Amino acid sequence: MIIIGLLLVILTATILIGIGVWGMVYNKNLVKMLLSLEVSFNGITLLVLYLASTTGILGMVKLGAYIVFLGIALAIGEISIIVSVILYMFKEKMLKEISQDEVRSEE
Amino acid sequence: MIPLLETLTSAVITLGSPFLDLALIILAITSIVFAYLTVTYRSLVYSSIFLAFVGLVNAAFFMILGYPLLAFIQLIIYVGSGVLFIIISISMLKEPKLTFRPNLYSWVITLFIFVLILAIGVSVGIGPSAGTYLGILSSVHYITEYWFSIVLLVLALSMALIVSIAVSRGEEE
Repeated sequence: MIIIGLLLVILTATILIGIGVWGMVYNKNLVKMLLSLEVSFNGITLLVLYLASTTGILGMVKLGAYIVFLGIALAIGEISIIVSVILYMFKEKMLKEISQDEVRSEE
Repeated sequence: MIPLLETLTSAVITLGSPFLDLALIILAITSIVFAYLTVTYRSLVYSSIFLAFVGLVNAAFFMILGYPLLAFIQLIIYVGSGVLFIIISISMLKEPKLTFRPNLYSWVITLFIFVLILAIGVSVGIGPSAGTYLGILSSVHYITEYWFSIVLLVLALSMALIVSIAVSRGEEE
């Protein structure tokens, strides 16, 4: 039963990463792409923690926690910069819509 | 209150307990549904709120895997500041027109990454070890000792989400 539960964790993590990548390719909206990236990030953190905890080595367990902590901190920085740039471009009327096509046409 | 809470948490977060598998199944389904809604929902504000729920479910996963401190960091920093920053920023914009362009290419990429990661995960090893549930006791300790703080945290996050929905709806009107 425990193995089934742990299989579920790895399955959930991979499905989250898959949904995130699918959303990144599927959506043309910049904010939606960022949100898809964050879904993918959640899956990756879950996968890293799961793999770190299954090794059974205390050093690896701690290393996984450090990596995920660093990842969360970097993700917050990335979110704040990207959303601020999108907001600035939209307010300065560089973008009519928040769409990837719009950014490409500006080049 | 505390003995009851301890009994409940111990029933769920105990090695070999059937409740643990049940909790994992519920969490897995919830996480996948919210992730799908985040990617496909038409409104950006609601999409961001679904992302916040994905973060919440992920925090529960962290707790079960034995990382209670990371679960709190995920709740406070990631959901509490990061996702709410997206929601508040989006609520300042007018709702943009969304375009969906499905193609076979995206499905092939997704399937490839899915199979690749699953293969790596299975080859690394999926069997539980002694270290897997190393932090379970500390998780129970955190929940029972700081239950009031957790209740306050959940209430504050819920209030912030509700206020952001109200602000964005007011913006639309």
